[in-house]
Amino acid sequence: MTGCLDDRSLVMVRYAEASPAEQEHVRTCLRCAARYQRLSHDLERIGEVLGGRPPAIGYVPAAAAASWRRVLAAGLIAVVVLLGGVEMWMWKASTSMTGGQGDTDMRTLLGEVAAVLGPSDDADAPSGFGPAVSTDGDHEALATGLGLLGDGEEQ
Amino acid sequence: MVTGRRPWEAEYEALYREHAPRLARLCRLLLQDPHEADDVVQEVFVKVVQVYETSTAPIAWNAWLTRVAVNGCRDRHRAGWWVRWRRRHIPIEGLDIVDQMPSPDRLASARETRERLWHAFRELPARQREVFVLRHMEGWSTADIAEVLKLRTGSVKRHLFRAVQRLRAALGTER
Repeated sequence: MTGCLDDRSLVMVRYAEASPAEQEHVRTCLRCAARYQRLSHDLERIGEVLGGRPPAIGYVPAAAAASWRRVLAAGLIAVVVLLGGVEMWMWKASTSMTGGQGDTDMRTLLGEVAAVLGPSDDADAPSGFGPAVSTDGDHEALATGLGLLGDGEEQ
Repeated sequence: MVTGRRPWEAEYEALYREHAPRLARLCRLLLQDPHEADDVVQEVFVKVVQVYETSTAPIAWNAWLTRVAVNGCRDRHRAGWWVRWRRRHIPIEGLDIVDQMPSPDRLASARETRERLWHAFRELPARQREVFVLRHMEGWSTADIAEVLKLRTGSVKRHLFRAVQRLRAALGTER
């Protein structure tokens, strides 16, 4: 239908802010009259509700609640990731420290064991695991000392 | 020792009786916190006392009180957003314990509509809320609202239309 009022004009008619022509149109157009009736009914209902007491509990629509939950979950995940990262970093740092020290200790221990079990003839040989057992003669001396080689094997 | 009543006190009391409930309702709609709204009403009437004590010029009290109340609400709104955010729940003494509705289904439906509508109302931009309350709830003219809120009449109409649109959408019956 041509000449029907848009929503804004209809609201203005409801609040007596429209032009006489628009008010007249609402009186003569069935469609606009029906829309006007619905608008009036809705505004009455809105007035009734807002004129009463507000609802008991702060009403949060599902979408808003979900968004809060999402923010909370993202925050928790961020905290967990951060703590995990820090923990990982600290673990790596402690591992590298104890790893270097442990290697040095092991070398010292093995050097001492080798020195006790099979002293080398070479007095100038450096102590430590590698040089103490680095020659065939050393191996044999060590094996003899441990009683692993028999007479037949020596030949 | 002076024990007599001040000359304006009777007029002040009449003014309070006539306008305090209306201003309380207005402030509760604009602030949504009944305690804060009552504080604003008290502040408004403190200003009334100051006016009585400093001026004898006649005042259009209806418009004056509303303007001061709206400005007071706006100041509160600007100053204490985080306080209201913390206190989003209506205190227990403000509740309707018994509602006169015929059936549980209708009760639930009406409650849902009411909550949706109140939520939509609270989510309205401040200007739209002020214009809607003054125009629809208080019955002010567009010209008066424009003067009090320092807006053009076209802006008042625009805010009013947008508020009506949003509230009808919340009601679920728009169009």
